[in-house]
Amino acid sequence: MPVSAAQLTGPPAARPLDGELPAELAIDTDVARRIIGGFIRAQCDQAGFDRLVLALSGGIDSALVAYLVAESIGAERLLCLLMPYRTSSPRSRADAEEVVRRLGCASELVDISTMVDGYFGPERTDASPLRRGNLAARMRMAVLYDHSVTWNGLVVGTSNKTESLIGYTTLFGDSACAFAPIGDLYKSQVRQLAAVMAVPDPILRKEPSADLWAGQTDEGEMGLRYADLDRLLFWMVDRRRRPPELAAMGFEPAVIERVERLVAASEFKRQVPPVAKVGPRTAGIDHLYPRRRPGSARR
Amino acid sequence: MRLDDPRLAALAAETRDLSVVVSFVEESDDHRLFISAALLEDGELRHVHRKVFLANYGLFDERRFFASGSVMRAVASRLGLRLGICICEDFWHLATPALLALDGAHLLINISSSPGRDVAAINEVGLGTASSWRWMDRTYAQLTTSYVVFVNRVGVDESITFWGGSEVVGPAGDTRFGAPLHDEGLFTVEIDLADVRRERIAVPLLRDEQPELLLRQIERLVRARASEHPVAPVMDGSQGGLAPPAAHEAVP
Repeated sequence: MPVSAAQLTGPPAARPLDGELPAELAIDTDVARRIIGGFIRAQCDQAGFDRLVLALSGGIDSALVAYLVAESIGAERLLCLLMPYRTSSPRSRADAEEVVRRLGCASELVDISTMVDGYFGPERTDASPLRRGNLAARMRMAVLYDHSVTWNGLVVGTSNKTESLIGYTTLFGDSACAFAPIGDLYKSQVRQLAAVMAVPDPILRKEPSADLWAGQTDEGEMGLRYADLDRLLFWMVDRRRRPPELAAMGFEPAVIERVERLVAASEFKRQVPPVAKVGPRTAGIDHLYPRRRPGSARR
Repeated sequence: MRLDDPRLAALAAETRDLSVVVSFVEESDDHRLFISAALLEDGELRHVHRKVFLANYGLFDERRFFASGSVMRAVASRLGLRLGICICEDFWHLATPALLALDGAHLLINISSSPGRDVAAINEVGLGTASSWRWMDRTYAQLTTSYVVFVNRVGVDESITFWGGSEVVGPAGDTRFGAPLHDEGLFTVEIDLADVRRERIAVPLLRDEQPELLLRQIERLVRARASEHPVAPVMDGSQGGLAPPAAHEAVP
């Protein structure tokens, strides 16, 4: 079905701010902010960088990371890349520009349409949304890492715990980064922290979306609401409840089974690829060191 | 480092009229690596505690690299009291405060690199780890009627944030000092040993300890554990503890 201009620019879907945070997922935002801020500074120090670059989509995850980075090392050390594809919602770009405006950080616009379309070519319009979405994510990664050189900064990841656990990420695409400040926060917790940090209201209220095509929403694609998914993942992963226990808590057995499968099936995305061990010492197996070894910072 | 490492000697040389606890990785003569804490006093290395209880679960992997210490004892200090020095995970085992107190410690010192985790809003001070340590410090101080000095690292390594929050708890379990969470600092806290005497006379818990009973029961439990048979025990609730399964019972 062709996408109309109205679908691209229509009124944003709004969601209520209250009543979305399951009680068991409520975090002490002061402490979380403090820990994540210190983590960001330490990552810079240990690598010997004082600048950071991230991909700002107009969504809540990257907006929150931009706010956290600006608060911890200063907005003047942050470069936000806006990388729309030709079908991206203009609203995403407007929301991202508002973040840049409020933070006062550097930004650059790189339209990735020619990169993606150039690969698929005019005859390859039959490429599935999955292929197009993955390629777009990986093109953004390539642009991001190129700017890591020109801006002289580390790439900050913007993935959250929910999408990481269910594998709603593109390997070597949006998951590629030097470090992940909000990688241990569920989407509901991202929303809680973003609200406290005064991320622009339209970003807090809009439906989360990968923005790969018009009308796409995370929750629509997953068939689950984040509040429910986050609660289930919390009890399953953090609190180690088994399926029968989860069912007794009121979670639907079919949903439990599906989410368990998603978590298991995406394990490979959360780990580094295995190396065939043939030598006496092998990286990641018995050649074990801190990622940033003492004295390894480039300055 | 070895205990005769010049760096340790240089530190010790700085301790005229001073008592200092420092920690380091110790290499023994037979090349085992220990997580150790030394008491340096009046220019000398007076005592070394080797971490007994290594953390090896969840995010911890110490046993892969380190050997366990095999001694838990208090040490007399130039300060005119006995110190019970232990390291981090040692405190997560009841034997540590119990043994150090029975060995005459008036003041328990735990030096820690405690990784902060669980920022659930329901936690006291917003950090699950901090809540746990605060409960332990108060409980141990009260049950051993001793001072507890908890000194925790501040900083970030890889994914881990060490949360500070060092504290001094009095022998009645009352907080005497609390350092801020996450902030480095040098703090001075004055304590009065007379408080230990007062508390121990008013609440003579240590007087009433029964180490002989403890010893007998521990010996029984260790014997039982050594004879454990890998057959599921009958869980009728009548035995409990580490009692062995009734492997000798005839099966019809």
